[in-house]
Amino acid sequence: MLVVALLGDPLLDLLDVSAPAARIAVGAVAAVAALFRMVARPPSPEPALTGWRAAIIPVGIPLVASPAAVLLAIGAAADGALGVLAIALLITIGALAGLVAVLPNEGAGRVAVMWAARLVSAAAAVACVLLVIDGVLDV
Amino acid sequence: MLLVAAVLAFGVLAPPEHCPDVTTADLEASATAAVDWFTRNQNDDGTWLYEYDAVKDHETGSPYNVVRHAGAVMGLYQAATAGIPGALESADRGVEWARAHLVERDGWVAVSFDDRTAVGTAALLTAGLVERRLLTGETDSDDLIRGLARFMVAQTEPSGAVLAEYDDATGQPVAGNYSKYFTGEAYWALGRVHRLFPDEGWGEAADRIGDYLATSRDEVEDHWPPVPDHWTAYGLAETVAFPERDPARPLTEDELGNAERQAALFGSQVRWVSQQAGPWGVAVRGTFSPRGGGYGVVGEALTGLWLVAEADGRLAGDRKPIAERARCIAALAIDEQRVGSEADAALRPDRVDGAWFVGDVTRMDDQQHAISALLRTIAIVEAESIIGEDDAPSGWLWLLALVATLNALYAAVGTPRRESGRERAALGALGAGRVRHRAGGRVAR
Repeated sequence: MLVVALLGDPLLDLLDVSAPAARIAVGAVAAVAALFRMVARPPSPEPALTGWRAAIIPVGIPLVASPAAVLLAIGAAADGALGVLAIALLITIGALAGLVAVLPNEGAGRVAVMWAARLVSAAAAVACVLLVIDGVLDV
Repeated sequence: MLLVAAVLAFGVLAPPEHCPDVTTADLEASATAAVDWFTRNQNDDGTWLYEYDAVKDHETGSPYNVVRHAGAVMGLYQAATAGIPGALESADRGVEWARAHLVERDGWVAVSFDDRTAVGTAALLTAGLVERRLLTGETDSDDLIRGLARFMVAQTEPSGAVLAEYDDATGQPVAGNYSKYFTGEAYWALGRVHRLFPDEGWGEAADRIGDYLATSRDEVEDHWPPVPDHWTAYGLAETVAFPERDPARPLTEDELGNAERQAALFGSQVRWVSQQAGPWGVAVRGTFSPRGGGYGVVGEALTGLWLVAEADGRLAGDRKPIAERARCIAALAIDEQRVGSEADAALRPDRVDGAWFVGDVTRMDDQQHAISALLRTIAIVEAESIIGEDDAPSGWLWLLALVATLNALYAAVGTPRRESGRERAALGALGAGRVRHRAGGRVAR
């Protein structure tokens, strides 16, 4: 995702998309995606690639590197927030590694985790709307 | 899915912005052509061609607007300061017309035309006369400047609200009648008078109006959305140079907030217009075309706010984006001006050359606002270095948005099950760490 973000910034310059405009666009798309996650069915672990390649599909793509996250990473890079993106990825890696080790596969525990995931999506929606507002209110 | 999201994001929500390059020579040439339009189209009595339909080759019949007359005087004096030939003489003739319509009451002076005694006329005439005074050093209009300033103060309420007109029949200001723009015009004009005569107390009224504009105008006068007010930007640019203000932090907190809001309002207008000018902008931003005055007021606002940002360090983060937006709107305005062969094809090239048209019609303030904006952009273009950075949002907001969107909990729910917790943890860490890779392969059943 860092690589995509690095490539995205010059692409935005080439397309003459300003940082505030990019912020509005990626914020809007990511907010809609976050709202969708709040109400969508929980993601299924299947289908998946076999063995360790399951780390690529479905964990890497699309669970973590969703279209919204990729666009958001590009927007962050346009705002010069590559460092923040790197920190966000580290937090996600650490949290995901810890969570899957202890996550209950079924029962009330799983329901609780899914509820928490939706809560995080709500936070994502709010944060992305704030990014849109920030972009609109930028010069 | 990513493709659809990208098309939506960068095709529709943030399409490319088209901002041509602009040089000092471009700005001067365009402004000179517009000044020439004024000098060619000035009537014997000092008024100018007001509104003209180039296809029907006639004046539209709209009544002559005395406030815009005063605005033209002001813009031409700005052009005279920039050294454009003919501007001073044309503006002086415009002032002579205004002098023939002066009224004096209660120690103040105003311009009355068609039974209308408007603050806007007094304000823009004052601003123009101050410009002339600074350019020529001649003091023969000082009493008129003071008289006009007294009229503006008399129309200003204790709150800082400015009553738009005076009723000669009742001998009173027209109660409850406020103008969207006269208040900002008075703010600017009184600020200019205060800088010219700093010991005469004009700054108190200017400050009162500025505070009203910053804190309550939109609410009291029921404006929603908030008014993008280029005259406020002019006024703030005077305020930062008031001798009694702190040179490092000249604005009050309220004024600072107002400057930021105005920069946002005008910046978003430039973004919209420049996106419209992009390769598929018309498809996603419509065909609405700003008039010359529209380009002009945006440029006037941003050039004023750039001066404000240059003066007050708390706005350092806005300097660069404001400068870029001001250059962009100036370049787009120049693209829309009818000059040369475009004008030669008209029925009356003398009434078209150097003007801005919306449809087939131009109005004199289209040229006036554009002249002011273009000339004030020169300082930005010539600034050797634009200090400051883009005013990006807080890193914490980006962090929250990214972490929450990446949503490790959601990903954890969808991570394939493995025999041991260690295996699953490794899978999760690998997946999140390798998200930049795409891969194909056999899907497990």
